[in-house]
Amino acid sequence: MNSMVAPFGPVNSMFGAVGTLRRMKMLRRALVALSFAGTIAGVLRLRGKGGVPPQEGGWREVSVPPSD
Amino acid sequence: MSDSTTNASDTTKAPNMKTPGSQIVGVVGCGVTGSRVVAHLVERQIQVAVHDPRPGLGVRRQGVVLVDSPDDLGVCDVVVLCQPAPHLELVERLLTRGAPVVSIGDDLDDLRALLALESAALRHEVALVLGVGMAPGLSGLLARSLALQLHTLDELHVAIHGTAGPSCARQHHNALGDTALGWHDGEWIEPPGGSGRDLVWFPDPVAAHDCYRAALGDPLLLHHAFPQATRIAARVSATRRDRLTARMPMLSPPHASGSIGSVRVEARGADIEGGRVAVIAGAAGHTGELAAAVCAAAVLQILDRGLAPGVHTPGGQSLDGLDLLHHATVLGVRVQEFTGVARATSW
Repeated sequence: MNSMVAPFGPVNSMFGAVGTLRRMKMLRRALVALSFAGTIAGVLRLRGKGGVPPQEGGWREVSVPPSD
Repeated sequence: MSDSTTNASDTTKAPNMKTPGSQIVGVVGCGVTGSRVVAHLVERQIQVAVHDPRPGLGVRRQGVVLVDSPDDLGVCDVVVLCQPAPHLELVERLLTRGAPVVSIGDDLDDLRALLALESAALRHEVALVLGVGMAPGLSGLLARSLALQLHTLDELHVAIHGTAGPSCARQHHNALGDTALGWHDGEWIEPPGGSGRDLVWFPDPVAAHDCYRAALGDPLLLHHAFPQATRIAARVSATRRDRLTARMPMLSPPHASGSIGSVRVEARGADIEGGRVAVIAGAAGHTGELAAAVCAAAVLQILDRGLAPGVHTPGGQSLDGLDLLHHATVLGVRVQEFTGVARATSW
């Protein structure tokens, strides 16, 4: 029995290590994706369109008379 | 709160009958704006008593005395508060002593609390004038002059650029990172600060700047003065760095003597035939000088005519807004109007 069980011990631990690697890889990918999304959102938030300046007219000083 | 639709002549308290030389104005805070207010008053032969923990050069002039405590100013004919917010505690003490108070404070929370002092002001029979700087202040006076050009007033949109002293700059920085306030279709809205970008064309030399919503006092005070307006918004100019760092402490120290600033007010409504009309007015200059001119004009009007007990705002009808604006122009404010056709924006 012992000789049957013994070979599976290292195999199990190998499968366990592969699972941990996958999880780490997924976590790393998620972090990279999140940081990309954050960067793009930040750029979009900071840029954007500011509008169009007035094409005609301008400022003119006016006098304000005293009230009666 | 005082009835903003009441005629000024019906509510005005008896003016101060002292001769110009015997009137004393107390000033708390003698920084960039406060020192300019003192200069305007001293030029007009008015004695000034100043309290400032760190008095600068603006205090050292003839006709100015220094006092150790702001409570000593309770005997003055008018007390002007030019120190950083909050003003609430000192205003309460001064009202108790029966001294009329003029505050240039623009902190939103402070203004909310100060507006609630209406009953205290009436009980002690003194006037409290709030937001008497550039914005709020000059913005309200411009709004009043624009409202008179419209048959019905529907919307008011204020944009400001520039800061007076370092405290003012810190206030603007914090306002951009705080929750904004706006009056929209009959209810208060609280959009996040730094949102609602709009390109605003200020009077020269300031010209075009992107402006954003912020925790500014203008909507609060303009709604008090113009309850008929269904939409009131205020924005402040900001750069990308300003917006990015708005929720952090200020990275670089503010300029000690302030900067060129500007205020632009757009009023939308209808003419007598029901046609849509938008009128725009503004002013540009050193921010501290604009604020000081409005503040000094308000003080001079109170000394000259007196003011009914209660809470007043620059755009309200209980103050003679047009006369105040005229006196502000005499003290150096250049009022300008936009002569082009106002185009629809995202407002």
